[in-house]
Amino acid sequence: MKALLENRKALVGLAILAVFAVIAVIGPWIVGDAGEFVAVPLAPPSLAHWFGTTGQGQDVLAQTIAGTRSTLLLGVIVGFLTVAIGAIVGTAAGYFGGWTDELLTLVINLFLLMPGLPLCVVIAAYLPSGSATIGLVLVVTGWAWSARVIRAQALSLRQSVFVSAAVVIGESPLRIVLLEILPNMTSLLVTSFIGATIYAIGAEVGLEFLGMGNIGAVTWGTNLYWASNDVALPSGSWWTFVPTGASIALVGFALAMINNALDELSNPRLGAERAFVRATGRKRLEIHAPTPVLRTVANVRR
Amino acid sequence: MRFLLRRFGFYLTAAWASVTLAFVIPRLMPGDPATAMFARFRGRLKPQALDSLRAALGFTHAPVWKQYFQYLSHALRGDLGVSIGYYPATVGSVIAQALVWTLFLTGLAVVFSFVLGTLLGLASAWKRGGWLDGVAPPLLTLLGAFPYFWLAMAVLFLFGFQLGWFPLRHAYDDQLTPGLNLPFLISVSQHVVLPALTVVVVTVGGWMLSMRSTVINVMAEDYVLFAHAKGLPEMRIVFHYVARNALLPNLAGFGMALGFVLSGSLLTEIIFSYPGQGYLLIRAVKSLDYPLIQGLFLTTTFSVLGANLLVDAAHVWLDPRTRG
Amino acid sequence: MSAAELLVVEDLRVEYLTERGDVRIVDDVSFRIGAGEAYGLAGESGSGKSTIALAILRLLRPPAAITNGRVSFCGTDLLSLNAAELRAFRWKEISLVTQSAMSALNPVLRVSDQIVDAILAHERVSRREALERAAGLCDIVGIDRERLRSYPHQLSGGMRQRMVIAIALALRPKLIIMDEPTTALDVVVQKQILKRILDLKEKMGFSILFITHDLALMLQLCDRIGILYAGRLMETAPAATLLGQPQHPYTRGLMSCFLEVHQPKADRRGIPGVPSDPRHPPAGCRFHPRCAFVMDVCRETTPLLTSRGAGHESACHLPGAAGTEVAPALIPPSEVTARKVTS
Repeated sequence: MKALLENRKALVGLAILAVFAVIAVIGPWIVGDAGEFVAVPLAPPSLAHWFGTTGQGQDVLAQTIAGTRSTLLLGVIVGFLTVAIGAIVGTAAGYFGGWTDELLTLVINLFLLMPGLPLCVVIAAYLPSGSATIGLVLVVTGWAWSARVIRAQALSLRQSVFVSAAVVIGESPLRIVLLEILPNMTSLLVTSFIGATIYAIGAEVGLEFLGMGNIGAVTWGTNLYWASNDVALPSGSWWTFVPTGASIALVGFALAMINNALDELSNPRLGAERAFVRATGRKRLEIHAPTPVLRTVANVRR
Repeated sequence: MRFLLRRFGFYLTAAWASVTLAFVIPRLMPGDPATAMFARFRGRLKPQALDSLRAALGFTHAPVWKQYFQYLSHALRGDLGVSIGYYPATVGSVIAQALVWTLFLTGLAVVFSFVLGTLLGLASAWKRGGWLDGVAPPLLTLLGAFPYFWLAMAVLFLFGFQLGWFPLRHAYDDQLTPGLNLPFLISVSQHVVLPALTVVVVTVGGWMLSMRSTVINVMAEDYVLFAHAKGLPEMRIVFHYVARNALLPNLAGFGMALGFVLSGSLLTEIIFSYPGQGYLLIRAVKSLDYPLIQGLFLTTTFSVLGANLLVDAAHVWLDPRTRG
Repeated sequence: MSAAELLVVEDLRVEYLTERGDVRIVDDVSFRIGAGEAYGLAGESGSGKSTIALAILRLLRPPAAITNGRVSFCGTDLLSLNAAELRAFRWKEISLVTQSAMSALNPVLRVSDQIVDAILAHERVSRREALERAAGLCDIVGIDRERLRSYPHQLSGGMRQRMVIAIALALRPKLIIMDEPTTALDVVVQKQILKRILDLKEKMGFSILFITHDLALMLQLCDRIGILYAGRLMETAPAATLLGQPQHPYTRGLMSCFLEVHQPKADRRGIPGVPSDPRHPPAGCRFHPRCAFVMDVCRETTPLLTSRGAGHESACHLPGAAGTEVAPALIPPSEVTARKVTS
């Protein structure tokens, strides 16, 4: 944890997330009713309305802030559920092996291969539009990715000494999974959760853009739906879709940075290389260059 | 060879599973499609139409398993039913035209993006700590974080509306006659630039990071050390010892990601009114054209399966270990 | 430097430069190899022997750096060559055979390509001529010429190792560094390959730097041997001398680790303790925590290599006059005395 806070990438990511988290929590209070008509539609940014107005005369800044909570909340929930299901399926496949594994792997690969959007649409078309439907279809199409990754880890943990010992002693599979296997996968579960949330936010916004969300609600996705419907592009009203898009990208980027930092931390080689670059006084690392001969370093460091 | 046959078997299973899924989902949902449509388009559908609609969608009074086999045999023959929105055109005929455009756009964009991303990844891993290694990954990660359709809107806005460098919609100029004539081909090329650019920008970061990671791993292998010990020229080591080996795991990842990329590509098509399957999809959603929705699901899935088979063939060609 | 001396390594020091400080892996090691000579470097894993092998050719990867010493080959200072000169030098003068031949061969290239590209990188010959030479090399190492068209995964372990040796011979280098060339193979194949290597050495006249942890093997193969422990040379002597009169307690410990089949059953003693952590080496003599003869001076002062006879040096504070064994009173009762190793 401490090392994470020292990593520059992680700090940037956490800072961005913190800002959005604050907005998500207090946003709707500050903004009031974002849907109300405030000014001339499609007015460019001005001092009165920093991000301009939408095609229906709403304040874009208010809409963006108000949409933060719903979008992030749904994204996090879907991310969590996706990893939870993925963990259950993946661990079962990796732990039990044999036919269970063969069958589950087949199902996992199937869901990985199928293009998500058409499948989402097929299911959602039969259900009432709204956040619950979107959440459901996203979980159905998204669980496979984390399942595959977790399965691989569970498989290798299964071979480890302490798990084999537990099996020999006769511990029940459930206890083994909960007490021996899952705790050792914490970092993997965290990175999977972050990855799943990134996917969830992007996919959720996409479906809402297609009109499958609750178009009366204020979320980032519906903001873009309305922006597109209200002919943002031909009228040159870039301000109706840029702030929302930028917010989505910033959140995704922040999460990705944190994930990258976590990866770096679990790969100590990268840290060692930085020290080496400093010591040899070079600007970059040439792995394929001949071993350097440094007679001065020995003297200086002593 | 056995490898390819095994993969083909898997894809066949996957194809069967998707057809089954397409059959099962409507029947799992509360009510049936006809009733759902009636509820949504209240007043626009006569109650008598419900029965014929149900029949058209395969909801006959026959037992379920019989319905299933009928559905399977129809699907095998390419008969995906009749479209509601484009009545009386069949789903198959409507999709066929769109499929060509989708395959063209997505295929072009994906191949270009993969090649570019792979080269960038190779370059950034070879010269670690250089500017490419420092700047490109965060920048491309940021660009990849934008939703496809948003980036499409931004690209369309900037290069289409504001700068006017490229056309704004469709796959070619409506006034031209399609065919192997030069004006048509030029028009097609002009129209594909912006949508393809969108897909490339979103996906290239991922390929770059993935290649970079595998190159770093391969560079630590013994045979690369041995190649250096042999005093081979750097270029030969980079391409024949490092790149060719690092490419293999990435190819597998490429296949896996195709489904995901196709989804994004469909959204991109919508923004550009590109007459591919994305465009059909949004129309189908708006008019609740269930046969078309299901048909699109099947064709997109089959496209991805087919593309994966091609990727596997490439893998066999590149990796002598799979040939036995 | 006499005309017969091929490789001179003096005070070689290799360190890993890390964030938490520098770790010395090879500490002021010196040895020489003459023309047509087989020099063995023995030690436990982690003693630094492979590091020395790679350091000579400057193939060590970051964070390793050579921080002191001189490595010269036929008068050329290897440590001052730039990348281009080093590239031209490698393989032509000194080649390398590594432990795991499977991982030394590129899985996606045919074996013929891997021999040919080594030849073409250094000599201006046609591809056809290079292929001819590759076929000739197969004959020398005892592989069917047909096998050239195979990929590495299609060959057995023994064949792959022979291929690697064939590649190592491709440019008729003067010195071949062999780092555990047969450890991964079964005993029968091991013997065949070692015999082949010896024959080739006689015929072609190259020198060998033979690195292994298997002392028995080394005593058969090498003319002179150096014993490495924790990055420092503990003892160096001609093979027969080392076998007959090992001076250093570590060497004696290593000797007692293998038994002669025909001798009466004797107490087999390993060396107690574990190799020291390179990050925190013991003060004084590196070996003192595990030594049965440890004295106070051993804990404080690092012993240097001192002569104990013709070509025989040992880094130990124990007294031992030239040519004589260590005083009997200091030998523990269960110490096994000299044995002959028959092939």
